[in-house]
Amino acid sequence: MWTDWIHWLSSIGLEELILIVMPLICFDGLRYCFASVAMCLWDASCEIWHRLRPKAAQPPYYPSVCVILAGLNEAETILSTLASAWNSYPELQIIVVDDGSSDGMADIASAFAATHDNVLVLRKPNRGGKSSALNFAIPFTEAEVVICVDTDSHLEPHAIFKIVQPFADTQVGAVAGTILARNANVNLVSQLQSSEYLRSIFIGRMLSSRLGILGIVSGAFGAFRREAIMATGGWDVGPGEDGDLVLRLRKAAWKIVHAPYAQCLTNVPLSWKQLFRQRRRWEWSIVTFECRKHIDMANIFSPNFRFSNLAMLLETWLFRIVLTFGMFVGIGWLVISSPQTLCYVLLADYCLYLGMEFLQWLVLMYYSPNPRRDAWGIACLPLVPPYYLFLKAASLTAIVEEFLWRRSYDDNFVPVHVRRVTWHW
Amino acid sequence: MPTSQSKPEPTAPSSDADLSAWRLLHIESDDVDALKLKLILREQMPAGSIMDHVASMDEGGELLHQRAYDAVLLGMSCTDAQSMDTIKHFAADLDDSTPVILLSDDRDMRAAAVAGRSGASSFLLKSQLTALQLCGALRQAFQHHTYDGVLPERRKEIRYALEAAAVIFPILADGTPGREIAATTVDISENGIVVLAQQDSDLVPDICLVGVECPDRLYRYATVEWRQRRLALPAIRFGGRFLRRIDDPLHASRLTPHFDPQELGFITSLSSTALHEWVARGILRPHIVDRVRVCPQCEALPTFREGCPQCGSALTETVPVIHHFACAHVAPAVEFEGDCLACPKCRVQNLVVGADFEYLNGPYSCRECDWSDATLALIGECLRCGHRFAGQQAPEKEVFEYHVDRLDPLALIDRA
Repeated sequence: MWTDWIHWLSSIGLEELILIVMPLICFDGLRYCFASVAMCLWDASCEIWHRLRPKAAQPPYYPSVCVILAGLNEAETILSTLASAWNSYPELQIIVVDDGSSDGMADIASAFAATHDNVLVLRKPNRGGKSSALNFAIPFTEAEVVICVDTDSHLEPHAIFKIVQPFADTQVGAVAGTILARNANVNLVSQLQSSEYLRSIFIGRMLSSRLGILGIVSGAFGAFRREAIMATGGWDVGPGEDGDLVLRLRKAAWKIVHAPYAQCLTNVPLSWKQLFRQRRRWEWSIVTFECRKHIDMANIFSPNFRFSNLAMLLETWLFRIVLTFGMFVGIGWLVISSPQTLCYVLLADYCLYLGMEFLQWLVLMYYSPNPRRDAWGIACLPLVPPYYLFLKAASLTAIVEEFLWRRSYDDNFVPVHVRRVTWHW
Repeated sequence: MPTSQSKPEPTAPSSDADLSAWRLLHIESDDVDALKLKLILREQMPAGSIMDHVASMDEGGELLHQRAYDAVLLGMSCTDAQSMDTIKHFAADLDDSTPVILLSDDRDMRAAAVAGRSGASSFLLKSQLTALQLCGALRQAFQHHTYDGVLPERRKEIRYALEAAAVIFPILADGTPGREIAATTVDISENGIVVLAQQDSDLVPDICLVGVECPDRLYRYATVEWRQRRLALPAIRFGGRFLRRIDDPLHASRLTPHFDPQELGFITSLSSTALHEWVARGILRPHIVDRVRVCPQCEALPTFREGCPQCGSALTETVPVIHHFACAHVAPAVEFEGDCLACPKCRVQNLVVGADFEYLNGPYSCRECDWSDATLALIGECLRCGHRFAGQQAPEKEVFEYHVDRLDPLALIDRA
């Protein structure tokens, strides 16, 4: 087969070859690979420049900080999350919000609060959804910066200090932290996700932030200026409430940036089924918020129109919706038009994709604060293209069902009595 | 301390109350009434019975101190008995074991009632007095004051020889124990004990705690008031009666803690110093009856309530918070109030509780300081000194009651 493929590759002309790989290079390669390589080269040259002409270091910024741990039935993990956050920042306030748990999560947190200062446990009598749990904590804090951390997450050392540094710029309304897989070495699914998180969150959001089109601050680890949250009314009903809040902050002209070295480890799904469900839920919000609720961000006649917001929307529409459909349409077209060369074309794309992934791995190694920990991701490299194909399938499913049936409003992420009365965008 | 022990032996035989001779004291100022009574009882009293007659209570009291009587017949027409106080004093002076039967005229009913409350067994009307009625009253009185058919005064006389090791603890004026004195019991009765001790009589106070080594080798204790001190060379013979009830400095009521509204704490009648001394001597055994949290400053009982953790004030207030389901907005209820209940975030009006929103407990704030938080703290406030403190700072104090192994003379007598 390899011989046939090489024969086929040598038989086609350069123009034809470029035509075959061009979609991959122009879209996926341009957005995720070449842009990150360019960013890496730029940073490397800047570093050399700064070594030659040292720049005065910025003084550290120490705003008052409140960490909100909102969760439901997370009794098993709340203690380790609290332990990782407590005392990790000067005069850090921690608020645990129990959203009507039935497994004694609040009792465990209360026992921790009894022996540790500045830990407050709020109990909601009934489950109201994550958004209301986060909003419930806001009246209990006077801190300048509010950091949301999932109750099954673990903060890396100095993560809070690093995530609040961008707030020195008074125009910054939210800062996204980096989410990494905590249970990376459990099985293949977790390893692939770990590798993906490093590229798409650690490197990908770094690039989006540089370009000013960062549209997501993960609810698992994200920091918000309290003043900005209160001005925008806090979190709306989910799922995807973290992305929704960021879009509203962008509308209100707040800057959204990424703090790549503020890292938080979180548990990732361990089965393909769970992963599929998780990605569906994530992708629903693209339709709900970027295509429906906040479509006005693309309205150039809107009084609060900004080109960066339009660019962000275009990037989402193009790379996460159009190209998802385009990829499956292209594969379908190949299957119909030239089934005999389908394997050869896919193999060519696969090889090109591996090359681009390798480049991204090099970029990751350049930026990684812990290259030994992150280098093993190269072992997963051959499996990354089919893994992405799986994710694209989940994405396609989610987009279709959300466009057609508003499937997100039937999801039990939000309790029935809330999703019954909330707006179905 | 001697440990030899012998079985108690009765020194006088018991006799049946109905068959034994009666010893009666009749106090009656009216000689005619006295003669009438003598005639009534002459044929009814058992053989060998005696009945002494005196005209006044003073004389009767003196006679009672000299001789033992089974019953006192008190005629209420005595000239010096018109005073109710006199009757009460007379009745109070009588030994508990001596029954008193009042013989009264109609006009003295009030005095008879007072005397009856003071401990008289019964009273009879002189005008309606018959031999049958009087003997019945006497037998009833004897039955109430007998134990196993033995008249009380005679039972006093039934002393059982008991040779056992004993120990005497003088009880000092402040309730603390004095120096321990080794002794040996001579005899014992239900009401008293006689011991021999080689000790200067002056060093032994009137009231002491006497421990007797029982057959199970354990010492059991009784409080004794010495009535008799006699030289029995080379020792001194101490004879006394057991103190019961309130006269006993180590009575259970004095060893049981009770709440003192003055001190606002649990105290025992016996001072803590005395209790510790008795515990150190191994006489009293402390037993925890409760644990109470007390003021860390003065150890009085505090009140506990929820309050401000910063200043301890009870003047805290909370703001009700509304969670609007549709937009997940959470804010103080006042922000929703207006012409109608409306969400300040999404502008939806006419909200219905339960369907559209729910109430939550908002943060508490203190009116006396700038504190604000989600939960109140348990605050203790001392009722005596007014000291405020965090509930968990209140030390826990154990409340003890004290037990003493009581000597049961009947148990020793029963072994005879």
